[in-house]
Amino acid sequence: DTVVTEAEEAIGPVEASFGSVDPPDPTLDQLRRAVLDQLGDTGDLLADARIAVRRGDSDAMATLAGELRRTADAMDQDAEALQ
Amino acid sequence: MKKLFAVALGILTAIGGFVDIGDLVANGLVGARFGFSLAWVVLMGIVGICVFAEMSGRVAAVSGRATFDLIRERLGPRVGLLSLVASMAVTLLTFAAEIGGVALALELATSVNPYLWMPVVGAAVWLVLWRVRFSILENVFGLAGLSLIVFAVALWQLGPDWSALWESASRPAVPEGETLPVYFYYAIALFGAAMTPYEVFFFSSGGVEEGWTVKDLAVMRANVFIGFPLGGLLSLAIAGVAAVVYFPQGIEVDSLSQVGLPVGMALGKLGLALVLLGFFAATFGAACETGLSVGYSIAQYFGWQWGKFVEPLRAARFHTVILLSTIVAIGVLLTTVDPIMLTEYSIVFSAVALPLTYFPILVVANDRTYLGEHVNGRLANTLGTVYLFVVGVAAAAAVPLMIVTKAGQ
Repeated sequence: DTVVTEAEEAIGPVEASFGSVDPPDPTLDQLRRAVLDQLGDTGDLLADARIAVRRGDSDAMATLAGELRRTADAMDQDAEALQ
Repeated sequence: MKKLFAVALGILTAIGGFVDIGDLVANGLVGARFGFSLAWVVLMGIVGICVFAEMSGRVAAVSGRATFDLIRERLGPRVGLLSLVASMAVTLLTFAAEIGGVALALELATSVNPYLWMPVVGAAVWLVLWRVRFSILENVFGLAGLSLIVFAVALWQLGPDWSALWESASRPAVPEGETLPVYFYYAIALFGAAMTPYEVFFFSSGGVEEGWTVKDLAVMRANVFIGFPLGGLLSLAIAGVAAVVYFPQGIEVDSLSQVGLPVGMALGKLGLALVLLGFFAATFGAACETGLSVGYSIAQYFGWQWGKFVEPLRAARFHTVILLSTIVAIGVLLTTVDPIMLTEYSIVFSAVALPLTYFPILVVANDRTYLGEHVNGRLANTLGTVYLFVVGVAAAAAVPLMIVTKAGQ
């Protein structure tokens, strides 16, 4: 519970910080939107995970763990593509 | 047989009691950010604390008096006061950090907000220090702290690339994306965590509490030279699991839960349970040690009766100092300061106070008036002098590096 709650609390400021920065170039607007969408999805998944943990719903936890893994991999791929 | 049991118990207690919140946080953080490239600092810190803990223990066993008791007498009240103020400020900060660490460990176990636990923990620590016998306190938390061996088991279970870990440890290099000033800032933090001043004051005062004599020198040395290094290996294991799980992903550690998570990944619920027990034992034990160290140092400087080997009423001022410092520590924590951030600052400021702590110990350990034939030999003096230089450099660099790197960002 503590781990998931801390992760959920951490992603909010990350999303806010990234969202408050203007893209230096109009060509990067799409990237900004994509990253914010991923961060938003991650925040939603973490909220769902928090609820599942507090309800003791093991099946939901396993499903959400898989979805969080996929989101993390997608972010890694986007980061590598940028490099 | 009884002697062997006492030696074994001492070693086990030293292993389990070695790790505190500073070691947990520093090693987890450093392992995640730098891999094993700062392992050399842990090893250096272990050797350093062994050198000076042995000196402090020898002073206690031979003279029957604790180190701080003699510092004022040998070096004069001004130097003694300087040493007292420096080590007290750091020890009080560390005391607050340890109470915060216990609260964080309880949060992980109960999901109750740590700020609600802090006054409860503070009261429990004070109660234990007031009422529980010294030997019980040391043995119970020392042995319970052995559950942190689960980090070593987890590291094995995670199946790391041992050759890569060895390469990282034996050929230290600044990882990509990090700068040299940040690398050395965390080196100093890790060094400060391994050599915190309260450890030697507690060790020597504890020796007097337990009535050590010259006959106990061998046992004392076994505790130091076997127990402390094995305890140091636990620190490396904590860094190791973080290096294996977090470092490749570029994940930074900034909470106690993250320090223990890799054990859960490797060993499941049983591993997590042992980690939580270990966190609680290590931090509660260290909170007791730092609380006692505050009392020891102030009482010894002013010549008051001190110690748990006398009834509390006979050492009223000693226990009052502990009570007041507990209240101050809780007060600091209830300003809602992040206990992890408090821990990070306490270990860096520990590094700043090190010369004022260890120089007097080196002087006293060379004084035949107190130690007779048991003064430092050539090896102890050589190592002591080398380490005095090292802690001097660390102390001088700590605050500038903290400013330049914005506390390691």
